[in-house]
Amino acid sequence: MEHDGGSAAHKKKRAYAAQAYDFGANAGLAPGAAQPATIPAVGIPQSPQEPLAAQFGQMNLGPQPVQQAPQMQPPPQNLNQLYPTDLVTQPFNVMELDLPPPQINLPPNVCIGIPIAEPSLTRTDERYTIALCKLPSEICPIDTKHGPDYTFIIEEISTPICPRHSALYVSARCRRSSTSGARPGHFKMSALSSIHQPFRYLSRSRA
Amino acid sequence: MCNLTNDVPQAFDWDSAAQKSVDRWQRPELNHAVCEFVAPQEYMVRPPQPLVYLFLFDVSYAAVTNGLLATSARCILESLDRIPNADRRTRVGFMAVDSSLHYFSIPRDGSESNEPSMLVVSDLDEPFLPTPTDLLVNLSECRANVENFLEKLQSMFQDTQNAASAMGSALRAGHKLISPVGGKITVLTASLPNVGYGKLEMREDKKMLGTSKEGGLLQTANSFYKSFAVECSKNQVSIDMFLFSSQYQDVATLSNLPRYTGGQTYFYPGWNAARSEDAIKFAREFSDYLSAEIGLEAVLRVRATTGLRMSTFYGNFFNRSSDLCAFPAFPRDQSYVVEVAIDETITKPYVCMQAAVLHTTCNGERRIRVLTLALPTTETLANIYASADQAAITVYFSHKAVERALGSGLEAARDALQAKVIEILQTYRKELAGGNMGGGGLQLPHNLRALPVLFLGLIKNVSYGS
Repeated sequence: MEHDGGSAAHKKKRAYAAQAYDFGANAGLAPGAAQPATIPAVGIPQSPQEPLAAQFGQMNLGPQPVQQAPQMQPPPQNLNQLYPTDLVTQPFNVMELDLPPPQINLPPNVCIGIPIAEPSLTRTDERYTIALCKLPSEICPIDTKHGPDYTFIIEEISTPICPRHSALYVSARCRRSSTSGARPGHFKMSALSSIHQPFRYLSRSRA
Repeated sequence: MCNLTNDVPQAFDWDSAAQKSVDRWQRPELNHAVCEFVAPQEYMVRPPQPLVYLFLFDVSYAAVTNGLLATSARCILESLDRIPNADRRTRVGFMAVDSSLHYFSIPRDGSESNEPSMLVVSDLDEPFLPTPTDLLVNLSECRANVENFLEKLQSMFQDTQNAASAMGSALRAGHKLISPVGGKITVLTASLPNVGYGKLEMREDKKMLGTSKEGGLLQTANSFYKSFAVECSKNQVSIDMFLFSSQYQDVATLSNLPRYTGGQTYFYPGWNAARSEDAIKFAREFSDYLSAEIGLEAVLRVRATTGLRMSTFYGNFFNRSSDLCAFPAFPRDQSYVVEVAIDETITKPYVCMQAAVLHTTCNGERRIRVLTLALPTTETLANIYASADQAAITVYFSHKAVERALGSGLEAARDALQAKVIEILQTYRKELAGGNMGGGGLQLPHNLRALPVLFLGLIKNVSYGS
């Protein structure tokens, strides 16, 4: 589970940064300015990598207002919008569970990239859960010697690992609070980037 | 964390070990919401723990006749290659339990005798280890003899008539065996522990079901199962329970052990190997269980920006202090819920949270995983609804409902779930969807569309007794 593929990872980070710039550049944080979407939008915002959206389109039986899907890149608006739906006229489909949760839209310059880990690190892979759920009714000979192959999932779940040499770690401190600032004394974890001081509190755990 | 934005220090651009510059965009700790640090010596009070599995087989009449012993021995045998053992330090041990404790001494491959020997101890009150060596063996060094043993295990007990199970005593003995190192105790049983330490009574009465007395059946029947779990947590011992009885097995009591030790309860009521679905389901899940690259000897802490307080932690672990969660083993397929209280009015546009998990990987590396999250704040209900995560909400309320069930009974738990989803729907309709309470339709924003069906799933789940 080494963090490999330097160039690929590099490219990815660049992508993150660019995206953050877009959010930030377009946004003016105006608390309370959010309005429920006025578009008579139904269903789910369409995103290019999701064939699901197409399926939903087919599922909408009966007369429907023309689906005006919101675009992938939200309009210059720093907050998530409400897309009202009616569960009676547009019944829920279980595949909707695969959709990611709403975006976290932060004010400009709060973070680079996306302020949350990739879904593979925070959510159970739907394919895996569904595979498990199907088991009782599934009757097929299995090869327990080699086992069911979930490696395709495992490989995706690799956490970025900081380099081994602790000399590479930089102990960064906040210039105002010198620790995290949250509650000096209570939390000794100062910055995400340093480990010597900040996580000392964890090491006493086994004493 | 204190809402002051600092510039990234220049030191991040320099690798002091290699004496050359580093691209800060290449540093995982600056670019990822989740990253891991390899922990230095200061975080180790002893060398990183190896992976240890101690299997406790029920060999009473029930477990032999329903095929549990044969199936589990076979499944372990066929999964030996899948047990994580990259560092060749993984150890395994086996015990069998009926009215006595059966220890198995497995010689190293290529010894004078390659036959495993069975040592029987019938003292259930103060079980002792009959031999100091060969009870917990290195899987790589004893591989052939472990296979030999697993092939024979089934035949050793095939004619048993013994209906007793001293599982409580066996757990204490197993703890004694692995507590110097720590590790997993895997219990495979089809019987209620009915003799020896921590013995349990058949307390279910059909007449009580559906009445106010039913709540009593959800409580722990014997305090041993709580105090022993805490003892295990201290010694980095984690317990997993695989339960198979066709009769009452007191899952409420037995599940305490996984609950406080970072383990899991797997429940297969009325399981029988003669039904191929049962056999396949268990074999597949058990084999996956054995292959999981779990973490070991872990602790978790969470902190947040001023004004937020971590009030309650939900999940399978032991709260060693108010905000330190201890996990003798850290499974990779469980989730945890931290309830955050807002202590002061938050005026800042965003808040931060950070969780750190110090753990040992199953390959013997000590690491710290750091998860960081920033969330915008709002005063507008519409923003709350538009940004809510339905999966997270459901997991949160499933824990609240379990809490409710233990305190006030199953019906109260189901009612609470139903009331909550109705409240969410009503508030949305009244405040954000025009307030037409009389009109038809069932309205929710698209990101919460799954909520009613997820809550219905919870209410119908066997865990909440419906």
